[in-house]
Amino acid sequence: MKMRSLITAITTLFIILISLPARAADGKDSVFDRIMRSGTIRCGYYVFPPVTYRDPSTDALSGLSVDIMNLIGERADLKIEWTEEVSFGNWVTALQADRFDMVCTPMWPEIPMARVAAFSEPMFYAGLSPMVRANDERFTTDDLERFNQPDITFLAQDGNALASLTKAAFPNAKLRVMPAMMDGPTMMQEVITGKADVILLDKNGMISYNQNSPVKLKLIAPDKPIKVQPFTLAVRRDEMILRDFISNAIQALNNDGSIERLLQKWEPEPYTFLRAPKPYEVPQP
Amino acid sequence: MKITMTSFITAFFIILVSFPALAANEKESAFDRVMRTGQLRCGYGTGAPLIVVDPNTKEISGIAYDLVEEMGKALNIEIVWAEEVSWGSLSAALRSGRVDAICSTVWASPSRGKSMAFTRPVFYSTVEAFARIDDKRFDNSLDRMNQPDVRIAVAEGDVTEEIANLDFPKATQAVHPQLAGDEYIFMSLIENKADILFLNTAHMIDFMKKRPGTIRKIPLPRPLRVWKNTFAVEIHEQELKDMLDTTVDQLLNTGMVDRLIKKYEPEFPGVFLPVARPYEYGAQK
Repeated sequence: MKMRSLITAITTLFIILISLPARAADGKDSVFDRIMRSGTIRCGYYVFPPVTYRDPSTDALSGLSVDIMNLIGERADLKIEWTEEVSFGNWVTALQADRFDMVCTPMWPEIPMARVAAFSEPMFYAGLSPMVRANDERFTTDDLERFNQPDITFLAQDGNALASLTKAAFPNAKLRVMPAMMDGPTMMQEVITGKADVILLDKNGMISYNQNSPVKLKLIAPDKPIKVQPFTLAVRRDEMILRDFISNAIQALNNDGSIERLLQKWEPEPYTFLRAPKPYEVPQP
Repeated sequence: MKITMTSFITAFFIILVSFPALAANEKESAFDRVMRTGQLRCGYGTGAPLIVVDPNTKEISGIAYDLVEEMGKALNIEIVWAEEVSWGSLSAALRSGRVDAICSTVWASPSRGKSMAFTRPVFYSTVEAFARIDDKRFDNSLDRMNQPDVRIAVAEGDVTEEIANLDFPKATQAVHPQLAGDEYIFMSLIENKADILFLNTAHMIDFMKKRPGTIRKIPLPRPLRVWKNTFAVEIHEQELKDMLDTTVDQLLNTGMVDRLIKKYEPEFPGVFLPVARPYEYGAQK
């Protein structure tokens, strides 16, 4: 009798195990598979114009990234859920903790970051150039070599790729490194108050700061950027299928002019951002 | 009895321990199957100039056929043209395992990207809008096309329906089943059952050979879509995709794709947009 009960219990357990082959195979759904099952992409995001704006009374989000992601959702029949606001200091932890599926606002695909995240094809680009106080008389020409002098102090953040970029491009200048968690406006105050002379930034950063500040900043030699920065979307390092899916969608939106239309809609000034080049050649007549 | 019970439990645990491995290997991947058999089983949609099937001899030809046969030579695997698949059932054919890849090339749309992984493109092609030869109402006016009195002929479940839904939601759709074929949709335009249809220029050229002077391309500021023509595999087949990607790269970089485009271009002018080179030559004198 005991033997029969044991056999029955073992047989039941075996049947249960057989019914769970997928779980046994890899133990866990991929983020991509979960998105396909739920029909929803859960987004992490930051708020920064013109990528994202938040209505102070309703908390509703709008902006370039919101429109791009909604368009991807529309084309792929997926719902876009804006799940959690992140900072540049905590997004990796939140992504790895599975609190959302991907970062839906542009991220810079820096080499060290690629150890922990995978980045999509770029949606668009921006050039990074030295940004100084508009009234700083030392910088009135496009002479970038003027910045590579010991009397010039650059500003960067700890752990940020701009620090290594600055060191490589201007090895003779001083570099003041601020804590990783310091926010953008506080960083800018360092330049405004003369504690630092210059910071590498893009045109959108300059416009955004100048809109809210009586003391203006200016970019030097914006047509000769120190680096051209791709603006991509980030997923977890092991989510290559999701990365490919998002890349394909971005390419489709670039190829049919959708991203161009949205850039024109949201850019604070025409051509604030650089466009992705056409991936095809148009034969000349 | 004791011995029997011990043996039974031991046997059970041996099975249990080996279970995850069995579950993991339960289904052979398409890549493993291709490597084991030395054959790539191709599914294909039909339509000139990609894939044409001779109705009498069943012989297959076309630029996609030539490209994939060249890929087979490069990979030293046999290409088996296993199954003709309707354009709306590509994903199902891959998922069922009846075919390893879609070899007729596929437009990599975001909605298809939910269930298919795409290789690098071999070329690009456009979707344009067409009207009856004497109908000039829509020239350079996307807005005029998006009106309730405009009837757009679409094929159920394919990208033409997607374009109509997304870009021209106010227009009326004349929906045709996929199996009706392009000829049927063309005829709906000529017989005034629809006002507009969306197609690759290649289809128009093919049709105009049979019925010259009946329809015309609507002049617009830009094509409605520019699509990557890629090969497709089941969404989880990353290894197979990577292998085909490498082969596509070789065909692009050795000029094979250019040679094949040149072969088909005279009969299908302007249909193929070549992939932009990912490199630049040094300054040449």
